[in-house]
Amino acid sequence: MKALFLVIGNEQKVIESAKVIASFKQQNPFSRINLLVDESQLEMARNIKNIDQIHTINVNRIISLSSKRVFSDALVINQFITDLSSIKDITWDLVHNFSNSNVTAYILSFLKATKKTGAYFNNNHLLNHSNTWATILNTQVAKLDTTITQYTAHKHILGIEEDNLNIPFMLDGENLNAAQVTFKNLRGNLAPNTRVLGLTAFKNENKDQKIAIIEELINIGGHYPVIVTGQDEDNVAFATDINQQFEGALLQIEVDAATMPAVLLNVDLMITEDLKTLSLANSVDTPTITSQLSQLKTTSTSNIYYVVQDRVSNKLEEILNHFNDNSSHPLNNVTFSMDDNYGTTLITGDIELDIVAHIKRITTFASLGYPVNEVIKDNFLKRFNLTNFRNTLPKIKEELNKSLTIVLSAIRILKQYQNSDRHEKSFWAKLSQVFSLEKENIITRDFISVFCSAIYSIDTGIKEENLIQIETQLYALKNNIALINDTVQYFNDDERSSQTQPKRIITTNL
Amino acid sequence: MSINLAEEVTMEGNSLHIIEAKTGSLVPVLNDHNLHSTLDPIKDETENISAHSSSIQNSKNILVLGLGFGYHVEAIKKINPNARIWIVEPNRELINLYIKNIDNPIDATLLCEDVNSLYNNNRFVELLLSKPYIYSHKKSIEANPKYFRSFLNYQASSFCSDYIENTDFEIRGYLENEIAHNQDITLHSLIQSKKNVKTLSAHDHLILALDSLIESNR
Repeated sequence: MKALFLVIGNEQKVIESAKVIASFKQQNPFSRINLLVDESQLEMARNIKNIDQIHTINVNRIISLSSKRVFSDALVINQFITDLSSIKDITWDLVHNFSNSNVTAYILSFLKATKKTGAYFNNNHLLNHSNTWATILNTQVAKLDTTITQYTAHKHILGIEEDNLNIPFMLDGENLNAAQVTFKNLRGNLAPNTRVLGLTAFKNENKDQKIAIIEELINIGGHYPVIVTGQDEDNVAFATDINQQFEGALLQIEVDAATMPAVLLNVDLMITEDLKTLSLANSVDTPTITSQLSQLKTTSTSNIYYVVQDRVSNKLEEILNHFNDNSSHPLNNVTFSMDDNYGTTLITGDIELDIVAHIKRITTFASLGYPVNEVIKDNFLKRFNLTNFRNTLPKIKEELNKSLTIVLSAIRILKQYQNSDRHEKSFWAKLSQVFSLEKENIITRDFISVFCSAIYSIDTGIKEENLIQIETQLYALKNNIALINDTVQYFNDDERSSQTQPKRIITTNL
Repeated sequence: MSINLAEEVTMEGNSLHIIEAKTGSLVPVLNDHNLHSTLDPIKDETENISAHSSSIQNSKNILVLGLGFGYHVEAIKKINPNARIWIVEPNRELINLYIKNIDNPIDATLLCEDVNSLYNNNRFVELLLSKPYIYSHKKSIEANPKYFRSFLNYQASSFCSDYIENTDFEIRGYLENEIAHNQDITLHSLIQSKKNVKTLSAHDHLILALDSLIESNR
């Protein structure tokens, strides 16, 4: 079988495809898998296992040619055709639109294939989805944009029955061995049960936050942070500077795309704001803590909305403008202090944002009529280290109660505003006030993060509609909290019964 | 070196001959413009180039506008011997005269084409995409202002009919068909029209994919 995966997008997209491709290969061991990627992602693509051939589109060159008036459009067209020349004359057995963007939807439409999976346009210029899961991916799952969700959706689109549990990246034996030896030695020198946490220190991250996190980890005790950075001079200097704050006592590891998976496999948890590391960690099932969900989401949905809306709505431009031009977004009036007071609530458990993302995913699937039990079974239970989860239950529960109070307050304010027809600014000011309580550590930053992600997806410039959508999101958040509460209860029950397998499945108010 | 200093070449209305500077260096004269100093061209060009030495040192590719007799290019080479040098010189007779009269011509790529052809020359496009440092040889530009003005102000035509000859064979038939319906069609207007049609061909999908790619990365 000649299969082609269209993965035109950023590095995260390429990383996300690795796990799907591994599962596809497991189910179709004799398939020859081809990959179409942006040429700037070639290095990352080469790290993915099971690929027979990689084809590239030189996106940077096309953009450079098209953006300068001195270059003829002939050069732009020729470059694009040349880039596609190695795939366009083949009749593929399968072409899968992994990126789920407008670009790949049109490329999929252009190519000759016995089977096309994902979203594409037919000859009547109507958007087609190869099955219901492709619709779900395009209209719902993409909004959540977490690797596991994407993986589940792609698995169903491609009809893959089993998960491939192997690491989907080329792991250089030498690198892996070196990492294993390093971490074995480290653990040997630490007190028993000390958890080794990776903490990325890339120059695009916030140095003060990193130092605050390390200080917090030291205060909490029982954790040893390993500083993980890039191999180039700037990143090493950035990481060394952080390490110097602790008299250079911390282990500092310098990685590249090929060696990062080896490190991820050897830490108990990764703390990172780096999107690439986040995706890699997800792909090798390393638990992560981050506050990047809102950014991930904004990045993804702009493309996805484009595909969905292109033929069905004239609002496309308006929607895209909202994503592209932040200044026109009504929510700009609200200040969410995502970066203040970093540290305290962040390291209270091992799960944090991930669990919220999973809960959100589950509610989405449920709202679409999909069996929640199956989703939980598929994704949720596998995902977390139950021992660590249980250890943090009391703290999580306490914070959930606080969070619920805040969300309910926000709903009340929203209601007041809707009824009293006051100036818009007063509403935003009040809402902002509510969420500034985060600074007092009353609401966890993860919930703020999820809420921010939710409101970023609001796709209308009409105030009333925005308010309705915000209200919906607030209620959804409330439900999520309730669901997490039930989940916590479930694990409490599970703990009491001392059984490793779940006895009942969560079926709360979805 | 033997040279007849009185020899004058005339081509397309341009007059070209060589004179000897006080230092004995040869100086071409194009349309009554001395292309270098007639006192000490080597010293003069070296001084001119020294003002650009920092940028020259940091550039892998350097695009020089105007050949003259290459004294400025030699000065560039001295500052950055590893740089790859490209010279745009529209006057072929000047190039011939230079090659004929200079014992050790400099190691550089000479580009001698009309402006439109130049901007469609793949090697030149590659060069521009590499963001070269551009050095304008003032005396050459003054001697041939029309060409260099056209070079510096060039904008590619957006009409498909103007560039169809340069397009890939596969897409040419498709564009010819579109031009047959509308002579003034541009890639932009073609894409806009395709967004509203009910039936799409494979090439329509291709063009729309290209448009989406550009728009999503803009």
